[in-house]
Amino acid sequence: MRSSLRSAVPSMFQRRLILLTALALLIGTTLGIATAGLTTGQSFREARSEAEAKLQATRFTSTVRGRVLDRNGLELAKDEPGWEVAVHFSVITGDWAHEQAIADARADKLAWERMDDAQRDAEVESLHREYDQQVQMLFTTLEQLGRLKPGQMQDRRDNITRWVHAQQTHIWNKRQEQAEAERGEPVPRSEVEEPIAEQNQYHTVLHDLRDELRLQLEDFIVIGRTEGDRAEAWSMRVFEMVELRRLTVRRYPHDTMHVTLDRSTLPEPLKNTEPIRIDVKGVSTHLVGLMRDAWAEDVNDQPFLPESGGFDLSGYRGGDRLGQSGIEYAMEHVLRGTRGVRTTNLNTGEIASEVLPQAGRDVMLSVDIRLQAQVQAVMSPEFGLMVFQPWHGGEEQQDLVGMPFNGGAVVMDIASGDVLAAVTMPAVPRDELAEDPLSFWRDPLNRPMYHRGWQVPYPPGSTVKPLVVTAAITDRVLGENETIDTPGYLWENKPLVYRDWYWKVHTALRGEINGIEALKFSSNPFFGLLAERLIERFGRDRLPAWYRQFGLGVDPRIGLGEAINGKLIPQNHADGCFIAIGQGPVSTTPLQVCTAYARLVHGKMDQPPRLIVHPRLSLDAGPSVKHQPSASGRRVALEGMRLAASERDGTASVLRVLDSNGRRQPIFNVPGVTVMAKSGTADPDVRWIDYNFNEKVDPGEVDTEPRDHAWVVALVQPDGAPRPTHVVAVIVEHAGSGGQIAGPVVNQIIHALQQHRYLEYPPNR
Amino acid sequence: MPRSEHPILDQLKLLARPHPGWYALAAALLLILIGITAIGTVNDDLASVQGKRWLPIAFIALACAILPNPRWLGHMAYPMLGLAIALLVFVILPFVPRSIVPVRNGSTAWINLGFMYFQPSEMAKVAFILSLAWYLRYRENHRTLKGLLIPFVIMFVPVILILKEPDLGSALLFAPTLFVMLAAAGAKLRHLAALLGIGLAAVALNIAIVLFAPPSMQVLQDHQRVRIEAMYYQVIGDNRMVKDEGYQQDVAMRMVAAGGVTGYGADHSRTIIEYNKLPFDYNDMIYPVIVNRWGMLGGWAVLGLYIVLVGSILLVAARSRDPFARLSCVGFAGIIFTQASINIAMTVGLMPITGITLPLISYGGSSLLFTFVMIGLVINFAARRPQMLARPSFEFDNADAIFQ
Repeated sequence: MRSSLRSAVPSMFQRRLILLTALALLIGTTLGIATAGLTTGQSFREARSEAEAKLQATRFTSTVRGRVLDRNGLELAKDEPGWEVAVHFSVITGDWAHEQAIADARADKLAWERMDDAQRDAEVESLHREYDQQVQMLFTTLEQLGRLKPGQMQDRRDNITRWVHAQQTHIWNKRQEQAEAERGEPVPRSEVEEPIAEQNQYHTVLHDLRDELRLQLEDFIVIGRTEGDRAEAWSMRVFEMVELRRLTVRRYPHDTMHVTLDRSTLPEPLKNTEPIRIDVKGVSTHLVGLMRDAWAEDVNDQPFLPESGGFDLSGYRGGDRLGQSGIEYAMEHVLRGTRGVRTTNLNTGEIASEVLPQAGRDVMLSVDIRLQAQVQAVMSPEFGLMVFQPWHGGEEQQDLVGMPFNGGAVVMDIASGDVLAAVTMPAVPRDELAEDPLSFWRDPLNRPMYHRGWQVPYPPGSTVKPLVVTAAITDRVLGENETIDTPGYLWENKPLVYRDWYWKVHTALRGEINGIEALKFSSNPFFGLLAERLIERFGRDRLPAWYRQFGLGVDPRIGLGEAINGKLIPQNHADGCFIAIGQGPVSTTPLQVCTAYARLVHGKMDQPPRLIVHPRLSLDAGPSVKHQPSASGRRVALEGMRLAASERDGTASVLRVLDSNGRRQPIFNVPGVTVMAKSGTADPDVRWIDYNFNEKVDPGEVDTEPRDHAWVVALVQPDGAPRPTHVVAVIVEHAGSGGQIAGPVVNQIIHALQQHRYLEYPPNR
Repeated sequence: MPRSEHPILDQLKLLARPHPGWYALAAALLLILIGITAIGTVNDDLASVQGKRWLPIAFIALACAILPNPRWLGHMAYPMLGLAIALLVFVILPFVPRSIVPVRNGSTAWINLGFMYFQPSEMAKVAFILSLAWYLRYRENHRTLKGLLIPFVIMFVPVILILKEPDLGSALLFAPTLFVMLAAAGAKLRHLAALLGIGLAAVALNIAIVLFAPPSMQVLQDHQRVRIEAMYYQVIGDNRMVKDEGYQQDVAMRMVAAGGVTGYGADHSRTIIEYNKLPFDYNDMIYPVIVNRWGMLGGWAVLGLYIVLVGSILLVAARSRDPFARLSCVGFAGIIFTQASINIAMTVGLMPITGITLPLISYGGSSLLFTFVMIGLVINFAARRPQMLARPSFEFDNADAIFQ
């Protein structure tokens, strides 16, 4: 071959050219084959399909979230279009000015390299001042556009910075814990200190910007984003770090309401012929709930773009809003609705296919928002009942006068179980929450984000006694008229543990008393003896079983996941006796207490409370009815409560304050109704305040002698009605005597019920 | 030989003789025609500029390149390279106003002449080839390893300057062209193979470092690394970089593949390319436009025309007796074919993306102008009568090997 080629082509140069030509042909062939490989077969089909898919634009149309309505159809939450302004975190902190200054100074590489350190610092400082002025100008402009008070924008910036730094600390702690758990050795903090996502995000500084102001701001942003060296664009460059977001604003029209309250029926020291006008804020915050941006977990749980392909129009993607708490969270699946999707041919503009969005459905609540607002006004510190008053304690406690109380109230229609009002104090005004979320989320003393109507468990104290007497009579361990010689204390060997308050104060005995009198006097040993009889006859679980039947210690089945069960876990004989006076291993919420008393009145032991009227909830079946209270037991309980509220020696009848006639003033003074009430002064044992939010008990966080919780539960029977129609339960945290403190609050709530015409008989609403 | 009374007329007669140079021109014209049509598929305005402004200028350049005596051209080779180097230095000087040397696509590769942006690296390609051809024309020492030093120095000076712009795409063309010219000039293939092996090993090592070494050991620039990574992930079917660094190559390959065997045709292709957002569809990414419009057959036609073009130029080299002309033609063929091959290879996924145009087809004045200069010189060389007494060049007999 060699010799033949050499003889055919004697010139070496030409032979080399043949070699190069062959090489070129080889490369050309390779490229031709590669082209053929791409343009044929599977590669061609996939590419053509993908390329042509780009000719179609798929746009998703947003849906409208359903409204939340009160029982009268008033809108508590609804979607409306709006705008908000968000600014990059680096601008909020001011770091942006420094970053820009350094970037600008370094832009001219040659000049930067020629400078010494001092010159560089001076150059950066000079540019920094100019950018800092831009930042100040931006926030002044936004403050004016948002019509904020002077300094309010700075407060917002500070709050956002604090919030992000708190998040950062939390995340770093978690990262460090996780790393240490994985490695099994201490991990230096520096290893986990990486910026978190929030530090590179835009944060809302103006909510709900009006449209004409939005246009003005949009002009600034356009100038700020103009490329080139124009001086105007440069001087407004900070506006390129501003985002104007078109969004659907969730509005809460009845979150702030004005209520005028009559003060003529208040306890004497607070009585006034002039009504008081109270602005109540955050009326629906806990109840309706909050919204938040979708987290990665939400997107993973129900992705808008599932891994299997296509899209789930009801799925979530980043930036979606969804319910965080309350009804917004519990009824997310109803309120949310589904997106629409429209596929358009880009080259022709024709709509290829379209699925219209489905609006979320409305949710109607059983709550009467006007009544709710009035109850909240009653419980506001301005009205005076929810602050420490001189008659609330002895002389040694007078330094507490003026201290506001926290608490909760639930008002329920007995026949239907409808929750007409559910108030928690302190309230959480939405605007203040948006302004400074940390002051609400991280307030260990008041824990304002919890609804005290159903999210916080309290020992029920004596409010359980009517339930105990009903159980005892039904189980025939107590006769309807049977009397018991009641000792001053239950256990001989422990005279200080389980005492009658009457014995404690007067060192005197009540003697032979029946169930009605025991309720009127709220005699602890009497109910301790009933508990022992029940234990002796049926075992230790008998009374807890009754409690569960009344709705204590079990799921309230109200449709809110956040409503807690409470505790009911007696371990021994003593526990079994303590729970008969609402102490020991039992805790409950005002909602559960209302439910229990509604069942006590109507005897339907499986009827759950109702907060959501529409759509009807498909709740799990509650515990089966094993214990049906007898009519005689219920009669004794109600009569005992009636006497407790109406007779002067009843525990829920009179205040320690005197009226104008020098007589002790009755707690309940609503005309045209009979009130049956049971007070409860519950010993919380200890009070733990997690000041540093580390979920651990640290020194100094536990108060071993906290003030008692004050309870009153009242049944209200309008004149002419055959039985009570409404139940009101009020808890006032760490306040003291139930009757003295919670009693007047319940009284004013009954006044509110009457004003709102709930106590007319026959019903007129 | 008696002097002619009409030397210019004689010159024109010589030029008019049929020779392979005209085939090269015909192939070039067809490529230009395809190019203008393809540019028109994505941008009518640029197609018009290419056809009405740059093509006439290129023809003038071609005419100018046809006329000078090759010997005079040879004498001018070094000064031309010097001028090109001076211009390459000029564009990277930091104090030159950006109005004169603007930053385009992150590179200072152009000089604003007012009526056009002139790219000195295009001029450097021609000057480098002519200089190398002039240097090697009667030498033998390039058949030793030591003798290869000067040719490599001639290559490295412009390459380093071009890399400083930076314009990796243009710089990449010089080394293959040098190897092709050295091979044609009779350098020992084992020397060239060894050097090529070292070069390829360095490339392989760099790729391995990019893909497998920790960040502290990386030697390439970030943008170079990510391009290599993007191609690697694309090859192994991992789409992680498709949305960012691998985007350009991904779209290019999709546009090639979507063309199928016969292509979409003008209108639909325009729409498809527009909505698939093919970047630089009028210059670097023009091959996907061609295949998308005319299909695989269109792509093959382009490849075929390049083979014809390069083959014709090599035929001119083969027929020529003048060593300067011979090597210049080989250099021109080498650089045009290398540029075309790299451009096409990166759009079909055989090489990572780098900024390089498809000669004669992509939009651009400087590139077209200097490619036409090369073709003009090829015609010039082809038209000359062989010198009967010329020394034989690049003929080093060695009975041990076919090509030596």
